[in-house]
Amino acid sequence: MALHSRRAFLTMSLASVGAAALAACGAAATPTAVPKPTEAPKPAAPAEPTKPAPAAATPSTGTKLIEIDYWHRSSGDATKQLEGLAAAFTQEMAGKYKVTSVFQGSIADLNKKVRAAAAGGGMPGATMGDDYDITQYAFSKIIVPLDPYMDDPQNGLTKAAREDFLPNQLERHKLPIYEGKTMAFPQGFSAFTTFWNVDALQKAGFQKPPATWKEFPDHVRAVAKANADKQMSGWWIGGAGDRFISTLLTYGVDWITPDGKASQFDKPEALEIMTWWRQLSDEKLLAIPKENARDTGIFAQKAAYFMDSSGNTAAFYNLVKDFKWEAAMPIQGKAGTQITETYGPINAVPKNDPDKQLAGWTFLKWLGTTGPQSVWVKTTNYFPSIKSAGDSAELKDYYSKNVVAARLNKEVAPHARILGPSPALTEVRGQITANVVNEVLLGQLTPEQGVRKLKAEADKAIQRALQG
Amino acid sequence: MIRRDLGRWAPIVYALLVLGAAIALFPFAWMVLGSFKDVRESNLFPPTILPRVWHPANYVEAWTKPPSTLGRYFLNSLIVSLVGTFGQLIVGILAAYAFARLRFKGRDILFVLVLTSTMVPGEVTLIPNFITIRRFPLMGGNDLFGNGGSGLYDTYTAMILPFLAGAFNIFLLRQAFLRVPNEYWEAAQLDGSGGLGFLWRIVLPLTVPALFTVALFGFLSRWNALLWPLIVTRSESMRPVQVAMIYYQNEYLTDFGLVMAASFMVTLPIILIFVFAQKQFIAGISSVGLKG
Repeated sequence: MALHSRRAFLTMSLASVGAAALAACGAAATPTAVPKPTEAPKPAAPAEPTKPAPAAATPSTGTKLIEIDYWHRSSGDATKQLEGLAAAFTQEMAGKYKVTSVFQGSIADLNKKVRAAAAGGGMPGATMGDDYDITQYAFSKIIVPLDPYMDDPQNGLTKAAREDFLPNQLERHKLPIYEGKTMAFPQGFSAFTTFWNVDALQKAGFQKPPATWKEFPDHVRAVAKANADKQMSGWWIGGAGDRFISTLLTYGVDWITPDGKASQFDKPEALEIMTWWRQLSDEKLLAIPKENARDTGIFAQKAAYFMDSSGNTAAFYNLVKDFKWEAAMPIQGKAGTQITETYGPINAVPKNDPDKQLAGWTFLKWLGTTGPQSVWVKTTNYFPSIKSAGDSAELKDYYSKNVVAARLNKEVAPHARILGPSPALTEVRGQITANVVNEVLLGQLTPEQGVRKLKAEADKAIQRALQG
Repeated sequence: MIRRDLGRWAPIVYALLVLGAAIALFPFAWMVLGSFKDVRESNLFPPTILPRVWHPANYVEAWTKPPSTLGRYFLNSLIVSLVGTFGQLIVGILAAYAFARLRFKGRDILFVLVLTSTMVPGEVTLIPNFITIRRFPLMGGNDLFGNGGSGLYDTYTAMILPFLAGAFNIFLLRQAFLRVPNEYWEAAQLDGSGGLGFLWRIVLPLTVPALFTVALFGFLSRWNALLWPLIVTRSESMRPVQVAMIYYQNEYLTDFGLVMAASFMVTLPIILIFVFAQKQFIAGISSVGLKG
């Protein structure tokens, strides 16, 4: 039995290997054809050096076609637009560069793929990332500083091109924690914005939201009272952690210290927010719906306010027909300030061979020009990162139909800035802050206990992240 | 017969069963009804049950919207699910047979080692699996040491290979094979059968429900896979249906009518498979003492 069985076992093992080999038959398909771009983007202006610059890299001088992937997380119509933009760039760079735009799933999926490729090979020429991704990648040294490319006499940015960028966007990832290097290059972006039901406010005698959060609770009480027939509340907060930190920023308080070593939830402003959130929650004027139902409150006229990304103007234009709505700079912590948070992805060049890095940079620079910016803005409802795009002929029609977005581009976009970067931001914002805010609003913690817990847990997360 | 056993409780029992069935079917009904709503109605709160205006065009748009049209993603999912499930069955059957019926040194330790692999989270194996795929020797332009090319990246094989051997399947089949009496093996030997013949002619026919269960679980997990295919592919023409599902979601405005239409088309094969195989599936689960 034993001898017979061993032979059988070996036979079966061989059969198993054969089956695996059979399953392994399958060839890589050729990439799908990319659609033509919806608009012909303007060619990039010839570069003029702004100052003597170090060599960006040492790419080969040959004439072979350099092929790169551009990885992104923009789903839906944006996927097709990016394919079109990559095809347009390839056409413009005929014979020199070929870019394939590859959708890589959600923010988290894209991050996993970049990390897998960093370990196993096959990094793209350029990749999209959210702010905290960029910080992680920079700390892991898997993306390259862009300053040598930006300053390069031949392939860099002209003085005019630099001045055309919104300063906060061009320098969005030029930060002390990167030793002053620029680790990412902007495309489009959005910002924390206040949306409101104009009819509901007018019924209570208000023409616009209050200027500061201090006035907000009484304002909301009055609006709710005037709209009691609709059982309207004040604000349905979508994403408690995100909104708490965004609100804190409007007080001029970043969630993390400038050196990136501790949180700032012990500041009095954090307690102030937690306190009025709790008060309004107890009065049923503030609620935290499920993430995918965050905008339903205002659409169903069950909430007077919606505070979220400026990109939501598209949803408002498409879905709101029964009441007048408006949007503007978020309510501020202190009178006279103009602070809001930048949302949305940004691009980076992963560590690669010099030819591919240069190709990646060239593509990103091209995406930052008027034509591609306009295509991108129309599809995503983001703000353009360059001032000239907002006034361009390409966006004239879009902004004439989307006047709120046009106004937000002028009034909100210039004031948007990113949160203090930290590899711990995802955990602090998405888990720790969200959990603590929920506990406070549910009455499990007092606001004082909430901010203490928030500070303690956030600090631990920051230290863990810093230790790698 | 059943009615007589239930006696006067029958109406209540049937009412509860109908209620349970309605609760179980509600998500499917919601999906089907939602698939006929336009973008505005599909985003309404509170939602409507029946569409105010029926939009069957959602199905056409859902089919054509993804970059390679939904049909291509369907085909890819079908290839990966069928070939992967078949390969998994072959590997699982042979391994389970070895653990159940062959005697060799270290068998039990090896089996425990196989079982412990179920405790390793998928996240942990993601990067090692990716490196294996990228550096697969002599494939995709790679040399013998796995350098120089892309290995099995962007192939069906990359989506199939890492999951051919699954500890859960081996365990489940081993339990089923252990239930086949040893006398059958002795009788088969007397008739001149070897190990493979015994496995093919006697063990497998007696354990069909367990095989169905493994096949169904395997098919489902491959059909629903998203992260791994995203990690190991780049061409739209290689990607499965679950990737296509993401294309219906815009960042700020999702047309849930389209999402529901696509979901229905993607779910339909799974529903049909379950409807036709539920008898075997339930028998398989109960025969190895597992509960869902």
